[in-house]
Amino acid sequence: MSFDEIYARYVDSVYSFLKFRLNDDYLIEEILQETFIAVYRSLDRLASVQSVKAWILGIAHHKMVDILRRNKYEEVAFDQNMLVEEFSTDLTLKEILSQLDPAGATIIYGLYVEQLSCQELAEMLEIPVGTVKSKAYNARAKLRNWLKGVEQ
Amino acid sequence: MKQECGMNANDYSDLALGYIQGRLSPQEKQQVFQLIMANPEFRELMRVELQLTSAFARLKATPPQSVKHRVYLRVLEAKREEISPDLARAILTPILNYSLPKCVSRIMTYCQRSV
Repeated sequence: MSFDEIYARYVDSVYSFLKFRLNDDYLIEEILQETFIAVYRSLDRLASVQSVKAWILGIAHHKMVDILRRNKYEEVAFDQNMLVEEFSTDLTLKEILSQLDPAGATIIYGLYVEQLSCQELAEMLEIPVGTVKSKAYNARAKLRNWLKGVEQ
Repeated sequence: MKQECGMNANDYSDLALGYIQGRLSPQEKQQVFQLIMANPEFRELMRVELQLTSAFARLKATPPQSVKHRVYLRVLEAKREEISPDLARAILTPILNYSLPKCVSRIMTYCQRSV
């Protein structure tokens, strides 16, 4: 797969993930750029990658964490309450997302929006599959309760 | 939910979500059909997963065309500015060999080999 094909296929997913985690368009663009420069430099590793999407989202995730630390932002600087407001008028959804820790929110995002498996999420976040599963379990329990509340 | 051996609540949610997202093998699909027919709790789980999928679909954002284009151009620029390691070696080696004393060159060759 050429770099141009990779860019065309995955730029939307990376942008969407960053938009989910951050509320700063300038920063999102900077991380998007850094991510794809890193992808270009690591193209020789592509053959050994199991899931290209998880690999690229993992690069974006680590770039984001690095840049937030380098710029001395708080790691939880992303305000889910604000960012969800742009996509959804459902106030309770943003409430429940704000109750999840950043990793839990990323896992839920990966499962439901990017359709990643637990294995892919483990590769992306570089954590054990068991941790992904337990975080997914806890987050889903909160989501189910939220849904019950919405329906009542 | 009455659980089949080896499966926990998370596995059932994964199965339901996998079905909704069209990621299941024929055998897993068969398992889902059987669960839907036999298990009202699994049917409820399917309903919940469908609602969550639909709620989260709203979080998908698309970059403006201008951002896509700008970032692509910047990556191309970074690619152009990058010098290949082979070219760098071809340029630097004669310069270093000429400008450094012989003993330093030997040390550098030794270091390169050990790396």
